[in-house]
Amino acid sequence: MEDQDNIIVTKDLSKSFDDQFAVQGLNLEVPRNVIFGFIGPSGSGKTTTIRMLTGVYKPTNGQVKVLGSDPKRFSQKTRARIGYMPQLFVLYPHLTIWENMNFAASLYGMGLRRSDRLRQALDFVELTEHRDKLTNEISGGMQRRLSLAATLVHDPELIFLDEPTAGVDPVLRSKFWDRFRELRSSGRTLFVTTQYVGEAVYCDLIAVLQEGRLLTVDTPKGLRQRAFGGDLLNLKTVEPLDYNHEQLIGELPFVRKVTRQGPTRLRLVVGEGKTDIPALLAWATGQGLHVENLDEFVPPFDEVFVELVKPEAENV
Amino acid sequence: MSNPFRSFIRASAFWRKEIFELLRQPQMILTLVLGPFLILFLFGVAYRSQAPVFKTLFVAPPNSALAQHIEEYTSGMKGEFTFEGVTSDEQAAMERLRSGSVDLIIVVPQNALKEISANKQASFTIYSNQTDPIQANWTKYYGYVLVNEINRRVLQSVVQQGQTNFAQLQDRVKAARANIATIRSALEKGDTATANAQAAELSTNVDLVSVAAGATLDVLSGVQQTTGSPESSQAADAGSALAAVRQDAAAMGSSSGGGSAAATRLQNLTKMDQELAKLETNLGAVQKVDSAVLVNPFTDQVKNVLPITITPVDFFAPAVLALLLQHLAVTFAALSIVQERTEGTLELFRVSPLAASEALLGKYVSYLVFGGIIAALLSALLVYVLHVPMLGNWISFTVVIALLLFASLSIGFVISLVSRNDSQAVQYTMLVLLTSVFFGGFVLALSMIWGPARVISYLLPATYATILLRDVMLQGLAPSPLLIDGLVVIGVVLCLAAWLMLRRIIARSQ
Repeated sequence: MEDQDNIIVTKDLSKSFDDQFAVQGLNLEVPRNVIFGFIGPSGSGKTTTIRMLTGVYKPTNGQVKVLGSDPKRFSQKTRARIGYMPQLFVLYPHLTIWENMNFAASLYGMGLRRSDRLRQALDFVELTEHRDKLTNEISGGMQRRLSLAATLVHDPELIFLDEPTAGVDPVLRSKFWDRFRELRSSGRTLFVTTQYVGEAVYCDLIAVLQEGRLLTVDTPKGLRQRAFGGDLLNLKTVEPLDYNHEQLIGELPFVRKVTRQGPTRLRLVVGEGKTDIPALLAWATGQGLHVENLDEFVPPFDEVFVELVKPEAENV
Repeated sequence: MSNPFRSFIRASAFWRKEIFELLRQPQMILTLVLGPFLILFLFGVAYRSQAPVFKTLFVAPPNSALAQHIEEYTSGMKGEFTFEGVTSDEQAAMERLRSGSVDLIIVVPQNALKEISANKQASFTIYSNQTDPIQANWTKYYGYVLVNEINRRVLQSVVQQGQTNFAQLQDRVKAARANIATIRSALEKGDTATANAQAAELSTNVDLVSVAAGATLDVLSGVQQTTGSPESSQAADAGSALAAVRQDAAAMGSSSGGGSAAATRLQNLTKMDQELAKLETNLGAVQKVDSAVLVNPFTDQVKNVLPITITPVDFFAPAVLALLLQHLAVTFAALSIVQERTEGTLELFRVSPLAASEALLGKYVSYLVFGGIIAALLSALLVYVLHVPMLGNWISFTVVIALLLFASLSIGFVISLVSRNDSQAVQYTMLVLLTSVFFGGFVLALSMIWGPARVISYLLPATYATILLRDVMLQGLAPSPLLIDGLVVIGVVLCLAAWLMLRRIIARSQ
């Protein structure tokens, strides 16, 4: 399983507890320098997977390599290259933000001249001005930011973030993703689990997990296409669209599916939105229709996710 | 940066963290220091080193002679009994015992004289209503003391009577010596009849002397036999002189005739006269001995060779210090790792480069420092405020405290690693505390614990520390190397066990 391009590689990775599979047959290849989203509903095996990747859990079956090593045999040097933000806040409530940061820095053996690095990490999550506050006196959002700062304090190469935005308000959530993108831009690899399907859009690659099984791994666009069979276009005309129009448009070679949305509105599934729009406009003109609006519809990932898990649910 | 330095930094994470967390709870520190100090202080103020005093009601027949003297007898035992009266109604007395208005009922024997005459001991029956076995033992002891007191008084009365007869005794000795003079004169004149008659009278007088002096001389003889004293005493001399005179008087009475027999009798008379003179002198000395001394010839004087007087507070202070520091260290350590586990930080440790040895070292150092500060504050309060003696040197004291904390922390870490949650850890901690209270020499001296069970005592750091701190503080002794080794062994063995367990938890995947 030597792989220079991929920072994480798993093969048939499984974990069971009391004969109950939490993760089953997971095959992943996570390239370096990406935000890898690991999406699935609660209890789908996201945290179990992260724990296997960080060496907290021993897999029941299968193989795993992270940073080229088996997590069970991580050296101290390899561990120092990893950052891990657990799902729950686990720092010390009776310490201040600064003291907790110091604790995290010491855990990674950072030297005594580390104040600048600590300050940078706190600046990164906008907590510097609160550094002297006790952790049990700050809000849940600030605690998540502190967790993130503590995870980043030793400048890790590979960062595991287990539901970093859970319970965080939308504004802060958006800021978190901004930070993640900054980290990715500075050469880090982020492995992020989330149950907010909508956050998939921020990722470079997304793995969708359902009941411990990997459904698919793709880019956000790839996932949408996979879910709906292509790009979605919304067509709105001035004249009402009758059944004939619907039939004719469905017979166009690049149109894969037509759904009526109203008397003058259709939703179309096409192979490639941007290139197929001019052809559609030409077709409408030929039919004597005046197009009021024709643009690409980007469905929310909630809908994408529902479409993706539908076949699996139907099989079940 | 070198690996050892990084290890040092990782361990230091815990020093700062633990100390800061503890310092953020000043109320707890205040309780830890002032609480035990105040308890000891109150104990010092409240403790009375006295045996219990029982409210005692006597049950005796209405006209019992003993009953008439009971109050007088118990008046000499005010430390043990409060005299609540004498009643002939045993049932009513028992009701009072059950209701708690009296502590003891002592039933005087009904026919003491009859039983003693029949060669039986007359028995006092003592009833108590005690649930506390220690108080019940005091009851038994007081019963023993009471009966001894009554027996002593009876014996004293007999001896007093004997001494009253001593005045008559002197007259009898004088009469016997007059008999000897008359016999001598009669023999010199050849008047055998008069001599024989006087010899009979002499024999009677000597017998009477023997009977009258017997009780007192027997008591003194008993004392001599009990003590095994080899030297001669006035009582023994008087006794042996009396025995010789009786023998000679008997011989005098049975012999007769003249010639050489008369010469032999004259020689005997001279000897008897000398012995009676000696007896007269010795009896005079014995008569002067107080009857109370005669029946209670021995008393005791207990002297402690320690250079200071040790109060109960002084005695208990080292044990309290040892027990408290053990409990504090065990509790902190027991909660320490289990909290990391339940709060989830252990998961962070597993992912980080932290080694079990580094985590453990960090925690040991922080709690040793914290425990040391608490120990220093408490010791200062004990020595400088409660004035508990500190005869030994402070270095020995510090070594004992450090080892006590080390061994106790090791116990705590093992508890922490085998516990699933806080409450389980606290339960184990309380078990260690309870075991230490009963087996650690705090309440009961180790000598009162059954030999094989003492193994439990020597598994507890508080046992070693209590003995060592008492030696250092109250006697100024150097710590016993064997006991020091005991603390080191407990600490090291359990430290290794804790390290192996924590290593398994941190290093290995589940």
